[in-house]
Amino acid sequence: MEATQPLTLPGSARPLAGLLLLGLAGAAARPEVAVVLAALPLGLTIAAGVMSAPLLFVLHQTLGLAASPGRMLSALGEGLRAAGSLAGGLAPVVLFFALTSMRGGQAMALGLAWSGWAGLRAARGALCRVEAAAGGERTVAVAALAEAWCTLCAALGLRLAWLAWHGLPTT
Amino acid sequence: MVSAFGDAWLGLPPWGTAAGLYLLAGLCLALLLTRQGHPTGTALSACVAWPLLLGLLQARPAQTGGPLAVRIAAAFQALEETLPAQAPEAAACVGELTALRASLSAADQRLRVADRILADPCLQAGESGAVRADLDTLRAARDRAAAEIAEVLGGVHRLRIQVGMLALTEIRGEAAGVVEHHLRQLHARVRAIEELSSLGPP
Amino acid sequence: MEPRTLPTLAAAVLAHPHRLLDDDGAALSRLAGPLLLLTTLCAALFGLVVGCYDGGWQLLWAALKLPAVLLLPLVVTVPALRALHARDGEPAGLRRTGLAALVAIARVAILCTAAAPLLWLVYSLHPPYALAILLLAGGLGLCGLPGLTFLGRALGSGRFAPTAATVLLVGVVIAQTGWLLRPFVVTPGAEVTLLCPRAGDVFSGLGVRLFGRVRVDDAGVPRDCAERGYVPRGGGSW
Repeated sequence: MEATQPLTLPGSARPLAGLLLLGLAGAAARPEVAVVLAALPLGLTIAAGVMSAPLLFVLHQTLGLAASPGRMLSALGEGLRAAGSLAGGLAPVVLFFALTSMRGGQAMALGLAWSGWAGLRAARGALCRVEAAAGGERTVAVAALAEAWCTLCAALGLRLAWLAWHGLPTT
Repeated sequence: MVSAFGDAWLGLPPWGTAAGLYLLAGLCLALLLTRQGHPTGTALSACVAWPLLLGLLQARPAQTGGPLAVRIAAAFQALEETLPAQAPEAAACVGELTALRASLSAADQRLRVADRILADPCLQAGESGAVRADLDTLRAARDRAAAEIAEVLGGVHRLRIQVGMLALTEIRGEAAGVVEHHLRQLHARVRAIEELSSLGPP
Repeated sequence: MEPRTLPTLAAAVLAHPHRLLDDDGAALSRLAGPLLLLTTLCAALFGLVVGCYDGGWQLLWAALKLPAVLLLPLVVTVPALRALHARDGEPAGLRRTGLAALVAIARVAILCTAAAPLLWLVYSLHPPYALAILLLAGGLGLCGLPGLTFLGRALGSGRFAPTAATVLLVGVVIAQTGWLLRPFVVTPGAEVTLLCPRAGDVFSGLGVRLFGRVRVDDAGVPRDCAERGYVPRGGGSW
C-alpha cells in the first residue's frame, strides 16, 4: 500500500489554487495592492518550500535514510495538499473579514499561518511514513530531520512574510 | 423614527449586489433541486442557505458505502481500465474482479457499521468497564479488518503493476494466468476477512 | 425513527443529534427545510426577547436579524470546516458537513430560546447598556458552545484539535456577524436603526466594552451607533 500519493502537476493544481484563492480573498482588503496580495500566499509557500527542500535532501542522503527522493517529494506534496486545501477552505472566511472589517489582512495572515502549520504537520507525518514504507529503521533520525526541516521552513516562511509585509506600500 | 440603512455600507462590491448574486445562486440551486425531485422545503431552503445544500447535487453515494469505498472504487477502476488494454486475454477474469470488488465492498460496509457504533457518544460516555472493554475489542477487530482490506487493495495495485510489466516484456498468453493467480490469492484474503468478521466475542 | 414534527425534531436535535447524521448525510434532503425552519423560529424568538430591552421597532429588527447571525457564519465557514476535518487527504463530505452544520446551529438556536426567559428577566430590570451587551454576547457564547462542539465532534469523530478549531473559527465568525448586523440592544433614547454604519469590528468593539478603551472622543450622550473603538491610521492600512 502506498504511503503517499505521487506529486504531479495536475495533483498540485488544486492546492495551488487554494493558496491563490486565499490571496485573492485577502486582496479584497486592499485593492490598491491586490496583485501582490493575491500572489503572496502562493509565493511564500513555494519560496519557503523551494529554499528548504535542497537542505532536506542533502541531510536525508547524508544520514543514509531509506526513502527514495521521489517518495520524499511525494511527502512534501502531501504537505502542499494539506496546506492548499485548508487555505482554500479559509478563503471565504478571510473574504468575509476583508469585506466587513479592517481585519482582512490580519485574517489572511492568520489563514496563511494556519494553512502553513497544517501543511508542515502533514509533510512531517508523510516523511516519517515514506521512510517506514521504504523499510527504514531509523525512526528517531527521520523524525528529528522532519522536525528540523519543518522548523526551518516555518522560519523561512515567517521571515519572507515579514519582508513582504513591510515591503507593501502604506496608504 | 426608524431610519433605513446606514450610509456607505460595504465598499467593494456593494452589499446589495453581493446579496443579489447570492440569492440568484440560491434560486438556481432551488430550481435544480426541484427538478431532481427534492422536497419543496429543501428547495426553498436553498434560496437562503445554498452553500450548505450543495451536497445534494452530488450523485448520491452508495447508501452502504464504507470508509474505504472511495479507495476501493479507485483501485478497481484503475485495474479495469488497465486490463483490456494491457492484457486483453485476461478479459475473462473481469467477472472474478467484479466478485472480488463486491466482497471488499461488503467488508467495507461492515467497517461502516462498526464505525457508527464506535462513534456513538452514548456508548463512549458509558462508565461500565465491560462496555469499554467491548468497545476496545470492537475497535481492535475493526482496525484488523481495515488493515486487511488495505492489504487486498495493495494487492490490486500490485496486480496492475504486474500486468503492466508483462505488457512491457510482450510475453503474451501469460497475463491471463498471472491475473487469475493473483485474483485467487486476493479472494483468499477476502475470505479471511469474512472469517475474522464472523468471529464473535466469547 | 425519523422526526416528523418540529417538536420531535427539536427533541432529537437536543437529545440524539448524532443519530440525525446517519448514512453520511443522506437525510440532508429531508431534514434541511425543517432544520432551517426550526433555527429561524427559535432565533427569531430569541431576537424578540433581545429587542425587549428597547422595545418598539427594535423588537422586529432584532427578530429579523438574529436568524441571520446564526446562519450566515455557516455559509462562510463550510469550506473551511470541510478542509479542517479532512481525512487521508479527502475533505469531509459535502452532505455530511451541510447536515452537521444545520443540526449544530439548530441546537444553538434551541438553547438560545431556552435561555430567552432568563435574559428577559434580566432585561426587564433595565441593566446598564454595556452590561446588557455583555450579557447578550455571553449568553450567545454559552448557548453556542454545545452546538459548535457537536459540529466539531460530528465531523472530526472526536479529535480534539479539529473540534477546538471548529468552535473557535465558527465562534469568531458568528461574533463578527453579530457586530456587522448590530444593533440588537439600543441605548434608551437613542435613534433606532436597522443597521449601524460600518465601524471597527467585533474585536475592537469588545475591547471597548470590556476594558473601556475609547480611542475616539464621544460627543455628548453616547449614541448606539457612535463610532467607538479603534480607528485604523490612514483610514485603511492594516
